[in-house]
Amino acid sequence: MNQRAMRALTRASKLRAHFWASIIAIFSRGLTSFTNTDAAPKPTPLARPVPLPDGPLIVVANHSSHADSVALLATLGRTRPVLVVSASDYWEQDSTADWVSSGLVGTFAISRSGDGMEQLRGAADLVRAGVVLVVFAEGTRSTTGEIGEFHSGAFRLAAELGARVLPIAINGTFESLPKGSTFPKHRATNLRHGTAIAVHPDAIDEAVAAVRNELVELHKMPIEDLPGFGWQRVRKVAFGWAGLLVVFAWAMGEGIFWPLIAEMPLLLLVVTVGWRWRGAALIAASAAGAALGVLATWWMVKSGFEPPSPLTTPRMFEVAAEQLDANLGGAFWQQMFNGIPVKVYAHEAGLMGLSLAELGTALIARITRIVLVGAGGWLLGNFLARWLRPSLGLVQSVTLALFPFGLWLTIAYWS
Amino acid sequence: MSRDNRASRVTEMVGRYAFRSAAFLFGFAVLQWFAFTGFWLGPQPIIILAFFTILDAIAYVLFTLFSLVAVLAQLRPWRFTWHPWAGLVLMVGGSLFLVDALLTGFAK
Repeated sequence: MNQRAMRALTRASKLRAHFWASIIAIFSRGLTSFTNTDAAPKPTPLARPVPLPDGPLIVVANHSSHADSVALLATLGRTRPVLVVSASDYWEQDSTADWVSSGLVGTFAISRSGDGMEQLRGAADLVRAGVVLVVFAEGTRSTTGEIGEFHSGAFRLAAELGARVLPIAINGTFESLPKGSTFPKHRATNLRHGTAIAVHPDAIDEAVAAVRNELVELHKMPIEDLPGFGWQRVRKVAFGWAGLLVVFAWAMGEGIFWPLIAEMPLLLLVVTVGWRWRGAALIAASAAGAALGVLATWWMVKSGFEPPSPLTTPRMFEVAAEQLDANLGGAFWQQMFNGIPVKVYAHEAGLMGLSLAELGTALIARITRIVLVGAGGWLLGNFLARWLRPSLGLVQSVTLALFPFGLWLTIAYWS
Repeated sequence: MSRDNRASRVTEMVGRYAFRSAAFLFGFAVLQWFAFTGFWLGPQPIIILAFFTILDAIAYVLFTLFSLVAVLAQLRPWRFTWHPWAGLVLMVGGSLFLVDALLTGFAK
């Protein structure tokens, strides 16, 4: 296998890993790999690469669901190129199935009858070059969730190539997407890595028995429902001083010069705290920061100093002035959806020479908005926690990637 | 079951999902049309409009492609069901509602 083909396969495996990891984060309660079985099993969340042994490697796993291939691709594909051995009689029966297996999954199809072993030997060069070959040694999906008898093809190939066999027990996919179902249930999945073994050509049966026994033992372990990497990271910040400081400084900054809305970090953090007082503390910090920011801008403009206003347009200032003139309290309510930053209203309030009492009355709308949005996020976070726990990192990345387009649309409207 | 009947099982399933998702998105487009042309969210709900513009651009393009792929997948086995075709029609119809809703919402 030449280097160019290997690079293409590595790239394809990484792309498939990211694609399937996103699907798993959305449609399941998350996936955690447990490696390092010599000591205490080390949990690795879905978004992190799992450590794999070096050298030629064949992964042997139990099989009870279509989600098995996807789970393995999403985790192993980040570390090394992966191909899944599949049954040609099933995956090449139909144009859509063929496209899914060759494009989205990345399969090495063999026949389940006749010359299957000879076809499996066709993958020898790939394994030697460093491709991890995934083999479901039962040859079909289990209909009971129990691990069936193993075929020896993967072990014979490993013995011929001097490759090691790594057992990986897949727990949870049977409960999520058993044979015959078409839509996954929202369940957690665990991949428990066993010990990679070398297979001696004279001891194939012993190797088969050893790997199967280890998989049976690993498969008996309870399914652990651990949150995703993004959720863990954000929750840690939310419960630290950094969380309070960020929401306060962000909201205050937005009232003076910062171009991004105060609720962004508040929503991100508050959804992870559960029914703890920290949620109320975060909302209070954001509301206090927002009020102080508006007061600071009003005072600075009134005193003759104009703070910078990036990403604003003259029309925003005109409209804010008109609204403040027409209805002082109502202007800050309109600000909720219209996309004009609150610093623009604070600036115009300073120019108009509003008194502190007048501004304080108007600020009630601003504080109410932050409390309402924060409380909504807190409430929603508790209801959606089971979906957000595995997918918060993905939601965060997609939101950050798309935010500039929203900002551009808003500024374009007010230009 | 003959081999021919078994052959398009996955393709038929994809077609049914294309129709279901298109029906949902069509309903969502009609709801947005009522909300934005009737100004349910105030005279200038620009933040909401920007959010839905991005969401709709991604969702409607992806699911129109999904319906198209579901239609094309029926060509090779040459076995047709009405689901993906209806899905495609619903996606195009929904997009027309959306264009009108967003143009009305963003009008100055």
